[in-house]
Amino acid sequence: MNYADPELRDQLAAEYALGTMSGPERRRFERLLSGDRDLRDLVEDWELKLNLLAESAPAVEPPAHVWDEIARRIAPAPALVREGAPVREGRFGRLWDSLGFWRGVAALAAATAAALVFYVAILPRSVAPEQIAALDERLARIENATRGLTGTPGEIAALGDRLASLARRVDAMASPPTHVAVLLDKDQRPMMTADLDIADGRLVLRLNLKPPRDFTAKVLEVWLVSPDGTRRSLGLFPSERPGTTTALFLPHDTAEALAKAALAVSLEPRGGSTTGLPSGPILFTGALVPVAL
Amino acid sequence: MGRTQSREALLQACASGDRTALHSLYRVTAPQLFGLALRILKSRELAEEIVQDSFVLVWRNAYAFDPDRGAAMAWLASIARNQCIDVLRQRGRETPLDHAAMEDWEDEASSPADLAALSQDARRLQDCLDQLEESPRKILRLVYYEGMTYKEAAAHLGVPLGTVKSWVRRSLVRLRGCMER
Repeated sequence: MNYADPELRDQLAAEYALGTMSGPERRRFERLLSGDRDLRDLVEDWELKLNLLAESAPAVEPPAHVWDEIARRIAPAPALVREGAPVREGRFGRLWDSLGFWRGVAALAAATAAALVFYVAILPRSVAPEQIAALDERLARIENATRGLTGTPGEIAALGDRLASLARRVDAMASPPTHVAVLLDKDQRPMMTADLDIADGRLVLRLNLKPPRDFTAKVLEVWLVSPDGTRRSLGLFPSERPGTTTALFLPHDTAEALAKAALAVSLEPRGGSTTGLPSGPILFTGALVPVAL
Repeated sequence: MGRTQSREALLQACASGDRTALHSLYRVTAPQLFGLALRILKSRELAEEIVQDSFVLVWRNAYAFDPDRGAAMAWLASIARNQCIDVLRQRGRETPLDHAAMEDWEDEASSPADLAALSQDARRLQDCLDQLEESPRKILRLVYYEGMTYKEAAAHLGVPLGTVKSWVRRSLVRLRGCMER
């Protein structure tokens, strides 16, 4: 089929939105969608038109436990990310300064990240089909371990969407990344995606959402958090505007260390932390996971 | 009882992390989404799962909603319905299509009272649907509310597959033309 034909593209977009394709046709079309932004826009236009029909669906009140489960799943994550600036004195200050706390951050971030490998199989937007098969076996093992923490494949796919679009941009720039991360805030929202190419030390970061913070005289600083709880600054993120993408170029040993560590982003005074350690609140974190198989 | 905040405004509040807004949005939209999922999946359990997953997805993706491109309800419904379709195509139908039961509603004409409850855009779509001939309209509704593939629709109506495809394709093009007028 000639997928450049505008009429055919429009027809397929409409049929995908309407859902008349068989399972295999649907998956084939999704592969096409993954690399084609205009086609995704066409699909979305059709979806937003056709789904006006939902208003005419008969309303049925869902049982109360449905909302309870949603509320549970969007509840703030304990301890992964802490609100409020660390106070230098008192109980909280000690916690903030303790390596134990930071080890906790690294461990929790790693557990979240494990779920991302799962996404690669569910939403194979930028992965070759033969790689997906190879993933299956690994996934079965991590699936159970990650379900409790991160919810359903649908949720992971949502994170994956963000990640996939980043991966695509990087694909266009250079070689594909070797490691990826999604940084979640305390509400488990995918605030930032990160993409590391260990060979050339390139770390590409994309901010998805504006952190609900006052940025007057403040800046985002990116940290490497090792599994042992130590952290070092990787640099500043240039803007708080959603959609901002930046690339940091890391020395080889830093990139190697990062591949086995987590990223954290803190809010710091303009110019960055002056102490060499995060001095403001940690807004989001996430561990790197390998994408190369 | 008027809506104090539009669904669009609620979605935008979700994007800034307002959980109360998600609950309000849930209260005004979940019954319709649950009804849609039930009709497509014919399983309460699966429909409940879809509604749960959908609202978690809505929470996480609310920032991607663009009110200039379409209505909040259609955006929410496309999230829920896409998941329904994926479930149907991946697992197959748990409950076979009940052809007799469908006769009751598959071409129910939109009554003036029903129309009055719809948003302006949805009413426009209904008007445009009503301008189609009976058979294509019937198929479009079947395919949308039952999540049928072309093949299933052809079998259900006893019409050749090619005919079903060309009816739907032509109807879609006409619908869009009508809606953009």
